[in-house]
This record gives sequence, C-alpha cells and structure tokens, in this order.
Amino acid sequence: MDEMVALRCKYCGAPLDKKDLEDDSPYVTCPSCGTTQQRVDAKAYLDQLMGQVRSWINQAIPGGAMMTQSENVDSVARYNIFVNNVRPKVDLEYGEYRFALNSLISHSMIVLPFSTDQSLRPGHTSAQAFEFGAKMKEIEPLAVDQDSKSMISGAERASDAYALLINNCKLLQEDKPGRYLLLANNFSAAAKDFSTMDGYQPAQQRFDALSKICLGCDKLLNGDVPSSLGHFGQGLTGLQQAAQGLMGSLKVGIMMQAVDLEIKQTKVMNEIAGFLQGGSDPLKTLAAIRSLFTYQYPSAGNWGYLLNNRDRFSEVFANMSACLAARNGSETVPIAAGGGDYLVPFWYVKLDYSFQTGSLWKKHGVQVSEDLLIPADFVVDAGCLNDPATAVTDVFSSRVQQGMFAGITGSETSISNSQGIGKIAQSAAPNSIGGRKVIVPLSTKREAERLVEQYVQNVAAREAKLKLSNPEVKGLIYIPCNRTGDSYSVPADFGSLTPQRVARTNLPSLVII
Amino acid sequence: MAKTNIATFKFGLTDVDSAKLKTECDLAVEEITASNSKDGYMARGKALIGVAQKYQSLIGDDPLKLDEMFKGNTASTGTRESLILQAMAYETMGKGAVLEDPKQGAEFMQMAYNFRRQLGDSGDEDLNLMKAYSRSAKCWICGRPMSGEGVHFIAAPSNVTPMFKKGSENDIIRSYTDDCRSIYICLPCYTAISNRADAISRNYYNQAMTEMRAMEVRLEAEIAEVRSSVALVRR
Repeated sequence: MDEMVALRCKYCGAPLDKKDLEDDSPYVTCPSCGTTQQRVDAKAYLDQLMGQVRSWINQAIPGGAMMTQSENVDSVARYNIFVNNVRPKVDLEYGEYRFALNSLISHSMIVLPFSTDQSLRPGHTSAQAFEFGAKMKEIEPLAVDQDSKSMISGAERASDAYALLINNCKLLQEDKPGRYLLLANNFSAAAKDFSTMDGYQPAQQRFDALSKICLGCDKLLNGDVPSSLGHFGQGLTGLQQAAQGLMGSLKVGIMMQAVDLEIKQTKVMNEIAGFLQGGSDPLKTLAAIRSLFTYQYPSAGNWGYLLNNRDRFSEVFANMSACLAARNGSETVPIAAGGGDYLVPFWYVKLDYSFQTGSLWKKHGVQVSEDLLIPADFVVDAGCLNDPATAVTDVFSSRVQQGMFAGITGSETSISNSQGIGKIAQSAAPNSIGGRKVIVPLSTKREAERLVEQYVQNVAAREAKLKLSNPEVKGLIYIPCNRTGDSYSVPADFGSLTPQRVARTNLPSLVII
Repeated sequence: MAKTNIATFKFGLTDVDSAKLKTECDLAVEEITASNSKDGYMARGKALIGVAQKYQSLIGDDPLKLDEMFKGNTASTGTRESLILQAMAYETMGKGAVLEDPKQGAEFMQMAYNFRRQLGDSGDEDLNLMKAYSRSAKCWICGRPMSGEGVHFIAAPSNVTPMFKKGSENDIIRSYTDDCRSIYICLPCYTAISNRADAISRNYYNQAMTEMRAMEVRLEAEIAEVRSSVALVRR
C-alpha cells in the first residue's frame, strides 16, 4: 500500500491522491493536472522517476555511501558527504528553480471565467520540478545540522510549490470544465508549502486567497451564486492582506503588481456574482461576460501592443463592473441628459490647444478649449485605429464663421467648433441605469488618450496654424441613444460632428447588458 | 508651495493641482535623500523601497506632473516611478550584499531584474550580474569553493590540457571554464600572486634601472674621454 500511496502522475509528476489509490478502479485521476490514467502507467512512471533520482544521487555522493543505510552512517561522515558532495550540486539546481519560481510568482495567476492566459511561460515542466522535490526528499537523511536540514526542506517545499504553480499555468491556458477546482487544489497546496518557508508569508496569503477565489469561480459557474460571493469576499480580504505585507518584503516584493491585478479581477468577479444574485438572467450575463473576454481585437500596426496586453482587461473589467453595479442600483455612472433606450459609452475629452493667427505685427497666439467625444467601442473597428478622425467628433472639420480677413487681422478666436458636444458632456450626472440597456465600454483610458493624440497629430500635420495641444481624457460618460437597425442614432446636439464609427456600429457584436 | 492657497494653476496648457505637485516635490526630495544616503547599502535600499511605497500609495497610476512640465514626459506615473525605485533599491542591495554573501546578492539582483522586466526594460545587466554572483567554482590554486564571479573569483586565461580536464570531469564545481581556456582563481590567491608578481617586477625594474644608471655613468665618462682626445688632436 505504501508504494501505491507514493504513485505519481505520469503526465505532471504530482503525487496521486491517496483516496483514489485505495479505490479498486484501474484508473486514477491526478488531483493536480486533472488527467486520468491507468494505475499501471502511474506505477511505471514512479519506477522511472525513482531510477532518475537514484542516478542523480549516485552522481552526487561518493561510491559506497548507500542512501538506504544512510541513517547508520556516522553523522560526521554524513555531514562531510553533504557539505562536500551534495550541497554544491543542490545549490546549483536549487538556485535555478528558485529563480524560475520568483519569475513565475511575479505574474498574475488567475483568469476570469471563459478567458485564458497564454503569456505564462514557466522555465521548467512540472515533472522536472516534482522530480527535484523527490531528490530532496531522498537526500534528507544526509542533512545532519540545522542549516542543512532547513536548506533541504526549503528546496523541497519551493520545488513542490513551483511544480503546482506550473500545473496551474497550463490550466490557465485552456478554458476547460472543472479547471477552477484543480486550480484551487494547487493554490491551496502551494500555500501550504510557502507557509513553512521563511519570508514567504505574503505568498502563502496570496495563494490561499487565490484558492478561495477559484472555488468562488467554480461555484459561480455551477450556479451557486451565494457561495461564490462568500469565497470571493474571503479571497479579496486575503489578497488585500497579502498586498499590505508585500511592499518592502525582500523575498516576495516582486508579487506586488500581480496581486494588484488579481485584486481588480476579484472585484469584477464579485460584482458579476452580485449582479447574478440580483435576479438577472445568469445565462445571459455569463454570455455577455464570455463575449467580453473572448473578443477578437484588431492587432494591426502600433495598436497591437496595447490591445494584446492583458493588463488592459483590468480596466475594461472595472468599467463593466461599474455598469453592473449601476444596473444593480448599488452605484451610479455619469449619464447625459436625454431620452433613449440604449446607453452608449463615450470618452469625454477636454482639448486645450493654441493656434497662431494674424500676419506681420498682428501675429499672435490664441488659446482655445474644445470638447470631444469618442465612442468607447472604437478599439473593435480597424478603420478607427487607422484613421482616428473617424472615431472622434472631428471639431477641426468645422469652424466658427469669422469673416474673410479674420486670419490676417488676427481677430480669429478659434480654428475649430465643437458645436453642441460641450452641452451633452456637461449634462452628464451620476445616475443609475434603470431599465435601459447599456453597452459595455471596450477601450481603456490610455487607448482613448492615444487615439486623440494621433488625431491631433494628424490635424497638426495639415493645419499649420495649430501649435500646442494638450488633450485630456476626463472619463466615460453614457449618452442615451435610440436603436436604429443594428446601429444607433446619437442626439441632435452632435450636429455634423457625429463620428463615422457610429454609422459603422454593429450592436449585436457588442457586449450589451 | 505649502504657503500658497492656490488650488490649481496653469502651466502652458496643463492644469496643475498644487497639492498633488507638492506631494510630488516632497517625494522627489525623499528620493534624492534616499539615493544619497551614506548609511550602508541595506539602509539605502530600504529607504528607496520606502519612497517607492509612497509613490505607489500617494500617486498611483496618476501621471507625474514634474516630469510632464520639465521633461515633456507624459508617460511617467507614480506606479512606474515606484517600480523604477524598487529596481534601483534591489540593485543597490545586490551590489552591496555580494561582498559578504554572493547568493543573497544574486537574489537581490534577480528581484531587480524582475522589476526591470515589469517596466518593459530588458534587465540584461541585472540578469548578467545575477548569473555572475550565483556562479560557483573552485579555486585552481587553493581548492576552496567560492561564489560570485568578478567579485570573489576571476577566470584567468590558461591552457587546461585534456589530462587535467579528464581528472575533474565529474566534479560538481569545477576550477576551469567550460571551454578549458581559463582557470578560476579566488581573489585572495589572485591578489597574493598578483602582489608578489608586482614586488618581483618592481625588484627587477629597480635592479635594471640601477645597472642602467651605472652604464650611463660609464658611457658618459667614455664619451668625455673621447671628446677630450678629439680636442687634443685638433690642437
């Protein structure tokens, strides 16, 4: 039976569950990677693994010192063997694994339901890391003094935690049913390993919290919303505690950015669960979430880097979360005045610029402040990315009439005209969504800034009068619009400045809640 | 700035919040003080981490107005500055710690490398230092094991013949490089040999100079003799 308990998964190298092994079934399922295999295959893998471990030990220690009799070998001899033969080899390999572990934990290690993360690339396979742990277990009897014992124990724990996290990286790369339970198991076991390592307490807190969050996701996807809310709440608290301990932690301070991102993602999940509990159609909402996470964004030109960066999702999720909260009535979003059954998000931009007017001694600069709006779904339209003017209310396309000689005499007050855009923007006030449908913003503030910067650059290239400019994206406002076919019509105050993107909008392809 | 009651002011086309700018100025002063601290590398590193923490908590993802106003850089944020300071802090601690504990130094450099990567830098310099600090070898001369290439030991060019290579092929820690063109020497052995070689060279140099001076005197005497002979013949 002891041998059965020690069986290892032939796919990832993880120890198999004792309960499964006691069963009579010829098949066993790995609790870490979720793969089902024949018992005989697991036994064969164990034999192969132990062969590799023995070969490694034979290379490390001088001939004659048998591990099976190591307890009987004089402690001074064991100490000398360890210090002179084993420790240098362990030091080298452990250094590599520790480096890889630290690199791995500096990444966010959770994904929202239906999404995957292909960016995680561990430096080793889980089988390699588990094998290193097995080697450490085998050489344990050689460690006589406290220092050696703690070194071996630390190496064993670190490699075990690393192997479990590698398995989680694989699980994060594939959206398969039941993955959140496996993720939770692995995070929980890794947290247990970190709990015994000096200076790794924030890591223990983080992975314990992630385990709870994964359980919450599993419950959420299985329709048990109240339980998921409890798990998310506990997970969020755990991550916040971990974040407090991270700054200044010389061992795991590198996790700070990752934990911040995980906190944002957990808040979104909490909002989703809250929304589902509010009585809305869970299937419909989950479908909306799925489409948000699996959206295919254009990756052309300079936009590829921004749009393929998964950090952007935290802001997109936060905006979606705000919409859900406003729908629940727990929060508000800025909504412009007017009637319409659809609330369409626009980025509100304040554009301050200066231009030169007049000639000869009349030449001088004039400062102007304009209001711009950008449909917040512009990132799904390659046309907008290639020609920013089609995604903004193009204020430089129309001018206030100022007479023929205004440019010569220097009496021009503006080279642009934002018509009624300012009126719309200023009417926006915090409000709840009520019974209206809301389109989820798909772009981030940084992306809106970039778009408007490119727009102003293009204008400056053709308009020599334009000198300095300072576009500032103030934030999102939701404008009530009416649906017309698969698109929508904007309020009359847009005048002739309606962005071309509006006509190109295909509502069924957007995320609407 | 603390004495003024102006909430915001305009700098060119940019609206600047006075309170936020004051916070930035205070943090900039703290950053300079921490960078110039003379309290040792660990204290300096921890002070930099302290300032990084403040940038993160007080400014966060907001842009740094000082950078925008004086450098025209609009991409700089509190979070980014925090990452830069943390990378600098671990680099400082790594370069200091390596003198006493190369493994610890390597760990700090690894942290610095990870922070540089988060900033979008290659971090190659930190990675190379991390690899060098963690590299272990055995001194060819005294046989002591050591870590920290470039700090505690160096690779000296030499020819390691196959016979020596064969004799230590199974060693976990080797005393020569993989290409067998250099041997590892620990700093104490290296400096002892180097100092002794310097002393011997100096001795030979002094000896050579003494002999040259004697020869110079002798030659000058001979030249003077020839000159006087020539003068006598001319008369």
